[in-house]
Amino acid sequence: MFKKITFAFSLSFFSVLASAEVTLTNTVFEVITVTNSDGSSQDKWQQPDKLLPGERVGYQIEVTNQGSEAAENIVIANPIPENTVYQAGSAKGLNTLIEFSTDNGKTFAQASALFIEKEGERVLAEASDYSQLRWTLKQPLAAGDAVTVQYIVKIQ
Amino acid sequence: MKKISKLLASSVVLSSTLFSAQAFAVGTEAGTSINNTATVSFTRNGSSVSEAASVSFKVDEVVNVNVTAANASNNITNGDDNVAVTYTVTNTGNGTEEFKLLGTIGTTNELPLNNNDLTIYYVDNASSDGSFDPNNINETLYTGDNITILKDASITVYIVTDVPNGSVLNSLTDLDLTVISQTEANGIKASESPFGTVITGAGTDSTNAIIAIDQGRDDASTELKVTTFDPSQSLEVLINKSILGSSAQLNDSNTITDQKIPGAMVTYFIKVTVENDSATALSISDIIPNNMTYVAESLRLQKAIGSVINTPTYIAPALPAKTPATYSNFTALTDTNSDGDNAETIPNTGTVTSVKVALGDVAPGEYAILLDAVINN
Repeated sequence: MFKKITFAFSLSFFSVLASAEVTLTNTVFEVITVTNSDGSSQDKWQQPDKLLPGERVGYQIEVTNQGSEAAENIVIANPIPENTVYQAGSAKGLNTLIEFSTDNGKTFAQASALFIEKEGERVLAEASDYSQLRWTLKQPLAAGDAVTVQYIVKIQ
Repeated sequence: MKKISKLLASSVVLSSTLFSAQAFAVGTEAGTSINNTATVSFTRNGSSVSEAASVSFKVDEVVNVNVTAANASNNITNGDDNVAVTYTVTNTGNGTEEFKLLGTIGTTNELPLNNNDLTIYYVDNASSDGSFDPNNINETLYTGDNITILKDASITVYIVTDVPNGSVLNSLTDLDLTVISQTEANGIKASESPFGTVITGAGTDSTNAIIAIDQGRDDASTELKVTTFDPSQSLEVLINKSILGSSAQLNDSNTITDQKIPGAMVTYFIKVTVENDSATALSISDIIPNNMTYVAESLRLQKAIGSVINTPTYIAPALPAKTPATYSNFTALTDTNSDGDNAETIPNTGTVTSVKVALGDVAPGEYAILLDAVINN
């Protein structure tokens, strides 16, 4: 029974869009906290069996260069889905510059340098203020290589 | 998928809770689609390329409900009618949900009440004025059908009952309201499922339903307490009349017989029970039936203050002399009026049509008279 459910989800929580030479994969996971025997805890990403308000959802976006030449100036952009809130510190991506936007992608800045106006004062934006995020690869993606980035939101 | 594993935590598992309590705050409505579109742009050989990939899921349904009683205790008076205790029921899940209501009597039941004594009314909070009124059209009698409550919405529920006249001061009865989710699919019922159960496809818009409260139900208890005692409400006077037995002359022999034949002498037993409080100016009267004749000097009285009187065993009178039998614990009364024994025949002379024994003010207990009458020839 469990396997059957997992199979069903693996179809609906996974999308692939292929161009001639680039494959972009966007996959959703349920992120849970597991507790180790020593009392410490850590995140575990798993196939969703349920997605509820208050729970965390992880997105993994994989870009694969299936062409014969390197791809340059790679930027992966993702608006934060509606009814979700970005979780501070959850965006990851090796060898990428991670930036956020609070104005739906007009401007981007790193978390430590993203300021907004709140009640007349210029304050550092909080994770809940973010509307978009993007990863800029610091080096070209060679032919045959792939890069994966990820982040976590919480369902409101 | 190789690359993904690099980013994912590699060694985990050990113990994991099903889901955190935090997950149960009411939030995005069940069935809402969460859409995510990622784009990638890059240049190759000087030309810009852009691609997008979308993924979406629907928010599953949390099945949860909260029941609270407006007051921990409700002050009542014995004999009160339509006493209502108030509860608030809130759908704390994230989807519209169907519920059933169950009103029951708790472990403490001193009034006492029966489950059958309880009536349930409910009203949307938006239409509620906060107090029970059986004539308020918005307050609906609950008849056992499912009640629909929107997410985040509350209803007010009243359990209504009458307080027994004889409930004593400081007696308590607990009234419990249980509200039960009716979500189910493929034979799996929320009402029978432990906390954390996922019922596939049972949620809004065919999402999964997650049972966030054990057995899909919540309950709250409140007590009724007699804080004012009204003696006038509590008094109960019961009267019972029966035929103790009858005798007749059969073949010139005095015979105990059930045959109510002419000439048979019938002994009546009339018992009055006074409960909970004293009765003022209590009298026992009995009309002699048509076609029967009162047997003179047959009134006998027993008083059992604070006690009971068992039905005596029939003793045959003397026939044909029509002499009433003597019963232990019963005192013979005279037919003479105004002679101090408070017994009288009406009228005092001639054919007696009724008898009366005036007991005056009496304490709780049992009081009984015996009298004989003969079936006319």
